[in-house]
Amino acid sequence: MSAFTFATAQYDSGDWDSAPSVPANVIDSVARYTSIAVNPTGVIVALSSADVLRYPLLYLTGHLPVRFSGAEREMLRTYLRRGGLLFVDDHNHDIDGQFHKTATQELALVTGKPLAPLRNDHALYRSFFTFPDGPPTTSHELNGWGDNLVHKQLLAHLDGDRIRVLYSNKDYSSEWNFHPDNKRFLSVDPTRFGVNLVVYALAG
Amino acid sequence: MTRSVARDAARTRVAAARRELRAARTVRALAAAGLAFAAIEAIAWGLAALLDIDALHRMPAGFVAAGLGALLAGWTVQRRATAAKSDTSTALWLESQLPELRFALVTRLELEDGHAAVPALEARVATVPVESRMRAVIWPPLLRLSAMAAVALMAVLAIPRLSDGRSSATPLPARRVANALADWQVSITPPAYTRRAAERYDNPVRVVAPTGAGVRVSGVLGVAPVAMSIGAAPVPVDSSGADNRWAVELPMPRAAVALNATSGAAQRVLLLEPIADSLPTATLQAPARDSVFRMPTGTLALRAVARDDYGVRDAWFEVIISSGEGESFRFRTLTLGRRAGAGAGPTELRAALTLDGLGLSAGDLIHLRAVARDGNTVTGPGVGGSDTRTLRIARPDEYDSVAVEGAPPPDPKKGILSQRMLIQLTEALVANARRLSHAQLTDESRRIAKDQDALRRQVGDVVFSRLDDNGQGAEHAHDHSAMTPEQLMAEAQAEMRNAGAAVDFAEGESPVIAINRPLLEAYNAMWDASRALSVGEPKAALPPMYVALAAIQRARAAERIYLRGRPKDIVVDLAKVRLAGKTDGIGPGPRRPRPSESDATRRLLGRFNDALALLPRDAAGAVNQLLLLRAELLGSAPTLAAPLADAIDALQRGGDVTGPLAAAYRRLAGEPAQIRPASGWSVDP
Repeated sequence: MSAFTFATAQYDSGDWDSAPSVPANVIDSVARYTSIAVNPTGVIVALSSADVLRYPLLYLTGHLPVRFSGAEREMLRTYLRRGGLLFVDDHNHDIDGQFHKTATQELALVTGKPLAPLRNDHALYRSFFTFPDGPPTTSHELNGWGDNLVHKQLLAHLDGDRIRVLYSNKDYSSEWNFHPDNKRFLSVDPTRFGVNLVVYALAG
Repeated sequence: MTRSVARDAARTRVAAARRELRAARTVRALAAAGLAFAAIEAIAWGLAALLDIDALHRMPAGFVAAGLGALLAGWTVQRRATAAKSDTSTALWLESQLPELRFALVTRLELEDGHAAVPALEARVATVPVESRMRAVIWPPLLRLSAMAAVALMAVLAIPRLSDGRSSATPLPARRVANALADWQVSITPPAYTRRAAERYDNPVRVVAPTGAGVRVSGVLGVAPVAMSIGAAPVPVDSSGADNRWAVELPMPRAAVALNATSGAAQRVLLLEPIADSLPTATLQAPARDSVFRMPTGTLALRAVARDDYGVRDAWFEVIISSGEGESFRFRTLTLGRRAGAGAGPTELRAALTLDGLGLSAGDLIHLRAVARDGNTVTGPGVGGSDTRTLRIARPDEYDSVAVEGAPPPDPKKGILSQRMLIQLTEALVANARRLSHAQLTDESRRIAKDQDALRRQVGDVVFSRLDDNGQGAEHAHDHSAMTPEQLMAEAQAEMRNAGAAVDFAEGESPVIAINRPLLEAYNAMWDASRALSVGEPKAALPPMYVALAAIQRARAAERIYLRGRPKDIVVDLAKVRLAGKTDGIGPGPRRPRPSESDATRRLLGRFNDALALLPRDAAGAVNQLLLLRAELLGSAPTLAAPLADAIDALQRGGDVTGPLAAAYRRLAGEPAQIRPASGWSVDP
């Protein structure tokens, strides 16, 4: 029984490392709110490497256009087929941005169909904390650059009712990209949804 | 007459010889019996000393066996001695011993009474000194044999004294056993306060008694002295009793110990397991909870129950009244409802606390609890108390207090809607315009106009903050919110001129325009949109709103800077996050790491297996080892010691001990680890 390790996907195109504090922040929340055995640091794993198969949750983000290589696409297809959960977050928070356009295209190529809106009563929103209104809104969504929209739903690729790819335009990468020590200044921890992601991925 | 006299003389001589032979036969039989008895006794002593088997000598059957052996030996000698069977056999024996008779004696006896005398025979018989010769043949070896038997018997009787090492002047003990530890009795006298009767056990390997109970171990004195010790400390043994017994008396210690006994080569262990006297408990039933009184009047009913494992000696209510405030307090302690205990059962306490008579004033606190005391005279007395109830007399000025929960100030920027959100709201308003009255449409449109103005002011601030970020005009903090686009542009140009910035921009544009053009376009379009919205024309406001959104997007695409590089590693301090505290760097000096659990388990199992290996050869030794292991575990891991007691008791009872031993092994080895099915990803419970 190994401890949970947060994995960030490294892909050749784009800036995969644009939110370096997100892993530590999610790890902090998993340790803070759950008894899940968790490693204190995350790992960076190449998307074309078979090492991705060792991690139940894969986090992918960036601002720049995303173009997967053939190896990356094939490995990602294998990863999803074996039950992994890929969480993609648009760091631009812009449905007109290059990341959104290219990433959704690439994911459609990998899964064979475009991403679809995920209903807000999905089990993901009850896997640990309860989010009755669906995905929690980010401050960057309410007031920031990008499309400045409050996205009511996330996008997803489902296998039955099981999420294989979760796609967010809500810019959690910005919302969660701070040192976890600064959580003490927040009245509400915005990374609680990250715990849901981890628990949902592990409960598969 | 002469013939008859001669024949009678011969018969008389034979008869006398026959009587003497009978006497010699009896003496020989007795000597043989004595030798047999001594031999059997000597063999028994030898076996007892060699095999440490006391029963051979201690049991009456041993003496019976020796006696029977002696009788058998005597009888055998009697049967084998045929010389005295008849006159003829005696005569023949004499002929064999005295060849010079030349069968004259036998021949003479065989002649008929009427047979004529044979002078030659008479003369031959008369000339041989039969009596003296016969005594010389019989008695010397017989006397030697008797002396040997006497010496053997004396030696057998002298063995106990020689083994005991005492001088011949010391009186011989009434009875000594080979192993003084083979049979012992343990008497337990519990302390008087426990009200328990004394108990006596035969041959126990462990005794359980209250701490401080008198423990007396005794047994029959043996050939070797008895020595006792607890650990390395010797325990005095009293062997001077007139009843031929040794005895040890000691109090039951507070922690389990093994009493090691030795006597010669014999060893034995007695495990002393104390029962600790628990503290009495008291439960305050009334009042049931803390309370605040407006006025210090009335009577409180107090009710409590006290319990103890051996009985409560007495119990009472304790009341502490604290008065004052700040750094000046005064305390009073009262005792109410003291009551003697009611034996081993629960003791109920009831009392009434009258507030009026306590002289209470506003702000005073009453701390109330029940206290119970047991009668332990060994390690106590133990005192136990209940939870404390706090009763407070309210202050007059505390009724107008208002509870205020602090809240952080709202983030001002979160009140600003984005341009895309404003477009959505405006589009929705246009779509619903037909269903709204003019007044409703105008009101809603003006609300959007206010949000559009707020966003426009934010864009204006961004334009000048970007200039300020470049180190230019940081001190020029003007209010740009009311500026028209032309005024804003003019202000921006003036800022650049004052700063004297570089003019390295394409197509002759001024730097401020080159940097801020998209934002200025957005600012201009927002101005148009807000004006249209203010007059209740949301449809007319949409085109400039789209322009503003497009301009913002261009500004983003132009200005966004992405920093690449390896992310900084942040190591989450899991112990800190989980409030587990620090585990290193604590303490004044270096500490040795505690042995791992597996090492301790291996050591325990090793000792347990050693005892099991000894079991087929030496059951008592195996029990001793298990007792020592249990004595150690009782102090460090009582849960592991419990199944060992079952195993020891089972060994003492005899029969199949597989189950208890297996249970003890499983407990020592720990619960088997659960093997879970292989899973790709899972979490620890």
